[in-house]
Amino acid sequence: MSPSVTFAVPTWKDVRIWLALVYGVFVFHALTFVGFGRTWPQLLASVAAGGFFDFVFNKWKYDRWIFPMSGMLSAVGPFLMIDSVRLGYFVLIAFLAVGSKFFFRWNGRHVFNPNTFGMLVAAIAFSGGMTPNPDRWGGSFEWTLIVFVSGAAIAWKADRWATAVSYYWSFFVGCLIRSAITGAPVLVYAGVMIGPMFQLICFFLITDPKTSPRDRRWQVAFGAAVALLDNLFRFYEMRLSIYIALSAATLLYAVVDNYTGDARASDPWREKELTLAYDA
Amino acid sequence: MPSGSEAVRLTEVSRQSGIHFRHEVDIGQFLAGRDDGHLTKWFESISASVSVVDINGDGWPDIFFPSQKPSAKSRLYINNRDGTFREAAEEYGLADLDGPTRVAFFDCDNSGKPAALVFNHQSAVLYTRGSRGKYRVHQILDTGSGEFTGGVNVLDLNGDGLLDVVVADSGLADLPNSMVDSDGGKSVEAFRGVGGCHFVRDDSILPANKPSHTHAIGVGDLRGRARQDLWIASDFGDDKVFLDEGGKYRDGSDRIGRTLSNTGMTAEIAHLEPFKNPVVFVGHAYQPGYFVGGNALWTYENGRFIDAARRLGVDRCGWTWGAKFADLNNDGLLDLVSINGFISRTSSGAPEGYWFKFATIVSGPRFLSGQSSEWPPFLAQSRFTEPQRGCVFMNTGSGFVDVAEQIDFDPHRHEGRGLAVIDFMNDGRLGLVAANQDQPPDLYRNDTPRRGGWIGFKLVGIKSNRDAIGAAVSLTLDDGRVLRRDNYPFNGYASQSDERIHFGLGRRRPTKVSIRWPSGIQESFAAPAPGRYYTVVEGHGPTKEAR
Repeated sequence: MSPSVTFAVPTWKDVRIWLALVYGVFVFHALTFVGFGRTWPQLLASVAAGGFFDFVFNKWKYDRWIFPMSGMLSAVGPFLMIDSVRLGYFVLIAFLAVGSKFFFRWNGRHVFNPNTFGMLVAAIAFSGGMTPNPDRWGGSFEWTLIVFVSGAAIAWKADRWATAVSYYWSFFVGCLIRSAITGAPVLVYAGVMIGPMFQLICFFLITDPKTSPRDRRWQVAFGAAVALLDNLFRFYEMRLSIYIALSAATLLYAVVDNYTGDARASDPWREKELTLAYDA
Repeated sequence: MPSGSEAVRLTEVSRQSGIHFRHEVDIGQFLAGRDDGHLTKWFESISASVSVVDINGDGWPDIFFPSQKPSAKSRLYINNRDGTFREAAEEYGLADLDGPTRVAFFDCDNSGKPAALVFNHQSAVLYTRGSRGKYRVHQILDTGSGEFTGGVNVLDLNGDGLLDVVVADSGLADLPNSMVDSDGGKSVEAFRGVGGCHFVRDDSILPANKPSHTHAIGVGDLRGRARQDLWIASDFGDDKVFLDEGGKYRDGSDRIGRTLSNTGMTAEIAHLEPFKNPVVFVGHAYQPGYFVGGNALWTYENGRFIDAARRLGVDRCGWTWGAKFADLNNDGLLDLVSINGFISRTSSGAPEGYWFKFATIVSGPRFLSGQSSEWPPFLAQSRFTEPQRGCVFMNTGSGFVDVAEQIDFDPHRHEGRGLAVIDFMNDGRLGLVAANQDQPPDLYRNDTPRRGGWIGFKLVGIKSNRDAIGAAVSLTLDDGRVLRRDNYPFNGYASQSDERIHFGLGRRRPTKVSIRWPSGIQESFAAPAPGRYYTVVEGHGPTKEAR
């Protein structure tokens, strides 16, 4: 039996093309704004590692040759979100992120958002060498708007806008509750919602179509669940709250999906050309 | 080659040496009712400083500690030449200085009597010695509004033989509104000495520069061109470097490479082998899970400043404030000491959690993070973490090894700020003095067993400024190595160090001394016998032994 050979070159219909353009803008900012602290070697290491592991794992597990655009795009997320002076951590996260797609699977799809998984595991294991850092955007409201608009468009295109809206409102409600409990101004907690990192998380992690619900009702529930867990972990000052919350929610959704078949309704996970989904 | 814990011993002897000072803080008058708990915690975390000066000219270094609390006394400790000190601030008129935060002692009129430039959080006042030996107000410098003392350095900017002053307040009157790109702060300003210990602000010397929350200004020949470049270490925004183009400066910040620590608290500069040009050590916070960049060690290579801190092993040391290079074991290699401290100002019994809350706040937009009224009230009662130990990075020749724990450095875990080098025993073994925020200072006597030789020089300028600030001394050893030290005692953070030039020799003998004076005069002479300090008068070689 000869191995299947699938080498799909992305087209303009591919969401990932638009995602790449959006990422390009973010990357340009990260490389030119000194306070961001990012370097070309970090970008190259991230993208090369993401592509390499995606390519190798596809060949090894499915015996197919692919243009590893998903892996390369996946790696841009950690490049933007992770602080580290060691290139090895960017490579490690790419390995964990891409690897999670191949090793943590259930019902024919991967369970965790790859980047969330990669960053979370690495941040727990190597907290002294790397950490997600929202400060690098400098509190820029302009960049909040840019990330928000572009992210909202991507979420709309991926049909995951209900997840984003749900997360937004649920998170705000959680902030109100925390404020009521502690007596602190609500903006102490809700202020993060006006930061660029929040938009990145909301539109480029939580709404990942491969690991979030397809059905609208489940999208709302999923967004609310992530926000609930995120608020709960923040209340107890857990450092990696959103990453833990999202990982827990995706795992929970995998269990739900096992019974509802929500994600498999349109079988998006088994499309041979892998052109629909993005993993950032 | 001796290195590591077996080769250095630092003993904290402040109390047994007669130093009973405690730094105190009160900035209520500056906040004028604005204090919501956070402002005090933030603003008044930076005032502990120390100055080492031979105030009576007896060849033995003395120590001055300012206390920021206006009603508290600052203290001057005169060296008794036996390892102890006597307090003499009242005698010199330096006890009541209205909330001093930094004091720079230097010879502003080449008279041989150091003046005292005293900064508090709102102004800078120059004191000179009166006929009865007491310091009295001579001039109030026009530093504008003055917003919380930050970086100060003294050098002869224009080569006229008179010392000038560069100053950049931290500008913390409002909270920084971004961790990496704050809009606040103050610009770096230059004050030119015009004779008679008078200074005029001169905006033509330094380039126009964006305000920043500056903590330190370091001076050094960073590009190896016999120039005095300035490194501006700032928090909440990028460091800056001003390149000396012959008395005029231009902004060369675009030559600074990219790292996670393009900001910082310290600007300590030294010639470090094997680097061709001096290195700039910039202290920064290192906290797993939050700040992982750590310290930076900049070296100028191929037209760019490159960070070599991680390569040399000096990048991680908690929250670094004061830092000094010094050859602690006289092996001919400069070691690096840093002292640490958070800005808790809260008892260790308070709950942790500052990091998380703070990170949450600065994740939002700058119009929120810059308003402390929007911060949670309980944050002010939180502390960052347990007190930290400083670092003693011993130079092994190929990198640095931190031996602080092995030698029990910083036994009290004080909240360190200013750190100065002082050979208060005059025995060639360099000690240290640390100013601690809201706490007593630490005085470290160097009890390292004699392993290597040493030689030292006190420089006296004639055509140059009398303090010879800016002089470059090269010492050739019998194996051909050339060691280099530059005289900039105000480098580092919130400190003035022993102005004498010190060389550890290891087992080598010195053969030749070359000095490039600030005036441009160069002179060389055969190295005298090691094991002593020598006074060198500009153009006259070593005229006598300092002791």
